[in-house]
Amino acid sequence: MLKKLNHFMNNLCFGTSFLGALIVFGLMFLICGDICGRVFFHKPIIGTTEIAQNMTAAIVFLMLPWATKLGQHVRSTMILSKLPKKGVEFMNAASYLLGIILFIGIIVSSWDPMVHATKIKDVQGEVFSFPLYPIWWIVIFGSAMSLYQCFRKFIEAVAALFRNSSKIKTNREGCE
Amino acid sequence: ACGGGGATDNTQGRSERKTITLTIGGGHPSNTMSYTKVAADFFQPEVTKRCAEKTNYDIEWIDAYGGTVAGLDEALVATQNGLLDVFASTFAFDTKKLLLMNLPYYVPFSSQDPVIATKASRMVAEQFPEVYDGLWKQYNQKFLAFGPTGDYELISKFPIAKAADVKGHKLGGAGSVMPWLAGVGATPVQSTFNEVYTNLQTGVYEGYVVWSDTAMRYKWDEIAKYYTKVGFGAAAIQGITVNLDTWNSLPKEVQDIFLEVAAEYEELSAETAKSWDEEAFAVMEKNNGLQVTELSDEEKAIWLDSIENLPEKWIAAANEQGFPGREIMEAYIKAQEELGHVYLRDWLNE
Amino acid sequence: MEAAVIAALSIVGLLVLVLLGVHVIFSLALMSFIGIWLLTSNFNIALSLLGTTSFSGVKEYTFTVIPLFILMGSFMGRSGVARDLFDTANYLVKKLPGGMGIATVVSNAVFAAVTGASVASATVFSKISFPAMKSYNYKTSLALGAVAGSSVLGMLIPPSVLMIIYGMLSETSIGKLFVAGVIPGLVMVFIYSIGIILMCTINPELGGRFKNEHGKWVAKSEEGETDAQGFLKLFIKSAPIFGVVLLVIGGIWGGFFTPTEASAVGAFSTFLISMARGMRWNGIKAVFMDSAGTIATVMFLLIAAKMYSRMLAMSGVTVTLASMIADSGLGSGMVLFLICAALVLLGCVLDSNSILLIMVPLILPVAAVYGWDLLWFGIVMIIVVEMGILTPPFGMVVFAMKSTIGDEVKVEEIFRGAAPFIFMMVIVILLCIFFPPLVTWLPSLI
Ligand code: NA
Ligand code: NA
Repeated sequence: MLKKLNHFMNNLCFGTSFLGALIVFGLMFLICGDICGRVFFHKPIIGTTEIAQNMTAAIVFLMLPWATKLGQHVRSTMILSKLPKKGVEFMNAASYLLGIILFIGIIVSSWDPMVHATKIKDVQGEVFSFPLYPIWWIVIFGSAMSLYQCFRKFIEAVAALFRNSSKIKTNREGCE
Repeated sequence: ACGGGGATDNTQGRSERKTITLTIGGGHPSNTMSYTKVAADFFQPEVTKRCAEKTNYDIEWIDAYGGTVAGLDEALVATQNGLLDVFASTFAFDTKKLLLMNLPYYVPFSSQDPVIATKASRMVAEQFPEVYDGLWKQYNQKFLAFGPTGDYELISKFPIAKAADVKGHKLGGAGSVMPWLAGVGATPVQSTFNEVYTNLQTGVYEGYVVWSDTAMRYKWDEIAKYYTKVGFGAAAIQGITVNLDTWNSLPKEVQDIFLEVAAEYEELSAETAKSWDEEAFAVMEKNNGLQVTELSDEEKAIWLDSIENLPEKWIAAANEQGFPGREIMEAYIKAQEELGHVYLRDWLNE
Repeated sequence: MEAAVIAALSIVGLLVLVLLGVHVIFSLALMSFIGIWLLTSNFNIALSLLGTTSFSGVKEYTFTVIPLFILMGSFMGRSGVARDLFDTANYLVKKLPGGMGIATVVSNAVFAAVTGASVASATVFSKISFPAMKSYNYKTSLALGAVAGSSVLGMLIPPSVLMIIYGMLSETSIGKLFVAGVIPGLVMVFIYSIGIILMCTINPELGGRFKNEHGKWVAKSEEGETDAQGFLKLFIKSAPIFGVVLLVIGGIWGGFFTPTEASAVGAFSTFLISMARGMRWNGIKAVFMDSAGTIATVMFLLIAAKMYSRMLAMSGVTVTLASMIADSGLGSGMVLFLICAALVLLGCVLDSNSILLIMVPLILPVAAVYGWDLLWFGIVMIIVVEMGILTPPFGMVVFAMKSTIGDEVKVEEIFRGAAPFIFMMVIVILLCIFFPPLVTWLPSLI
């Protein structure tokens, strides 16, 4: 059951990350289309600026959970590399606990703005009105998924702390 | 104040003086726009001075202009949450949340005089106090003062004598002025101030809609030699507000000083916007031989008629938000007329 | 608590957390949160910083270009275009000591003409020239240093995100800034090359050479693919990238698109080249996943860095610092030195964009007092600020490289490898300071 859930969550993270990249790819075409429209046909694509700007946050939060899952976030290993295994696991646990707190913080503090933006269907731009509220949803969704990944890594680290050292090896970060 | 670290004792004075620290700012830098410049050079020091003279409180300011704490489209929320105690920023980026405050953008060809534009906005605000207070209360703020832009006109690399002269030309502007450009046959290109010099130079567009002071500051007159007073006009779409928790934590005598100085700020920032525009024209004429012309009323009317009926569009949007849209719009147009402006188009009777 | 004390403690706290191995994003977010909580004595205000900055921290066109530049880099990496560029450069300089290091610098300079973000340069060349140098037995430190150091060119040679931001804040023409960056960029290429030759002459092992049985220093045989192909063949293979360079430069100066839009044009043309070279859906998918990881880590680092810079701004400590310098009554040279020192210090803990955002408005009045030329000062400032992308504990380019290369190298190795290049950057800065025409001559022609 848990395994199934985990499998589902990871697939979801991978999927949204891919979607984020697809959006970057789409922006590329949109901006090039806007340029061509403006230069060759005197018809720019109205709203390109609003779309490009506002999609950036969405892209980041769509991609964040998978990067978190892969452990791509940067950290120094200067002291970590000199610590015994248990010390490393302790730092992993502590670090991912901070991650959990951060993502809970983002979710909690984004909630009211999200609710309000959704209620008034908040938009930006006069000619082309870019809807802002789905961006809030994505920020919260991406944080929740990243929270899940941090939580999983936190549990793994804590479990490793309390297991005898011979077993630790098989339970390192990144093993699937 | 709640947002700024609270009051601390300072026993050095004879009576017990207290210090109030306030963070003020928004998305625009304090050195490039008249409304932020007057906020930094008049509003802040004057509040501090009068509080020092008349009250037991010393006001200390932490400047957060230029997006160092909140960007152009974040200042409203940052002030709502208390990251900023005092909002000195623009309303233009909160298209929907501050639709009410952005009304002037929907009435182009209003007065070209920033003083009249500001007074008109103020008259409307005084006519509908519960509407304005209600709006700002929703965002946990106390509205203090308007700050106008300069007079939106058109700087270009080519001369413009008739509305038809812009046909086929690419014209740049901020998002909010785009609706003024398309109907007349120009290709509107959305762009921010920082890119204009290069874009004019390379020809991404051949003109830009802006007030003269900004054009002078960014030296666009080095490239574009023609300034045409199309008559888009000035708009009081910036200003000062205070976080409501901060406001309620201020002692009554300090609040009174804030209100007093804010009223003076509103006048001064309008006059400054006006005089800076005039000075800028003189500087650009002298430095780069800028040619300033004004469209005739007939040509203005042609341009004006090419624009979709923006006031009616605003009224519909305002009604949807539960505001008395038509009454407010009528009040704004009437206020402009009372202050001496003559509209070339009867927007509301078409 | 005094605001300055809080700011100082937050910096110490950040250092400790990062050194202990806490992820940089978590360290930055935590210290900004605690800092604002202490500054305002209000938990909710501190909390609100997390939400608003996540939502709006990268919501500007200048940030939108970064994913596009990274995507372009991935296309160039996967399609082999960047590799061909590197091979061509290498063909020209391979006889020199540390030749592949120089090739990295030169090809990075060409790449810089299409990219405006150093992280993109770092990402691409971490994939291309780092493995190449390793396979020729170059020492890891030099290989990493050459990639990290030369990625600075990405924002010094136009187009450049930093110049766009500086121009916006200082009301200086972005076009002139772009032109002003060209000669200092070339000077930097020259100094880096000299530096690499010197380093590899003094210690040939750095450049992959070893003593043969006769006691002579020789390189690993470079017979094989690169030698078999003639220079012409190589050059033709790398021609597409020069096409992209011409398209981007011509498009910007011909008025077809803006410097920010150039990121999309660059990405699109590298996409076309990749297709022409046989890249299909699977390759594109691989490009997407390559870029996704880097975009997520880099952009979230920028968001976290913005949280931190906002906390510093709210503490008012930067204003105090600037006014202390302005009111010091010192001579122009001393003040410039102090400003540079302050920028280097901030560079240790902040990202380049945030430093400019915070410091340019504060320094402008000082520059006016001493009558500094804003073009000249801007370029000097941008190079100084760019040192920060290589300095610990927060070095954006170093992090981007680490996230690209993976477990093969440690963050500290990259920082150490970059150190000699920081020293060379200081030389470039001094040259620009003492010979202002290096910066101002070219833009005076347009
Ligand atoms: Na560049
Ligand atoms: Na650094």
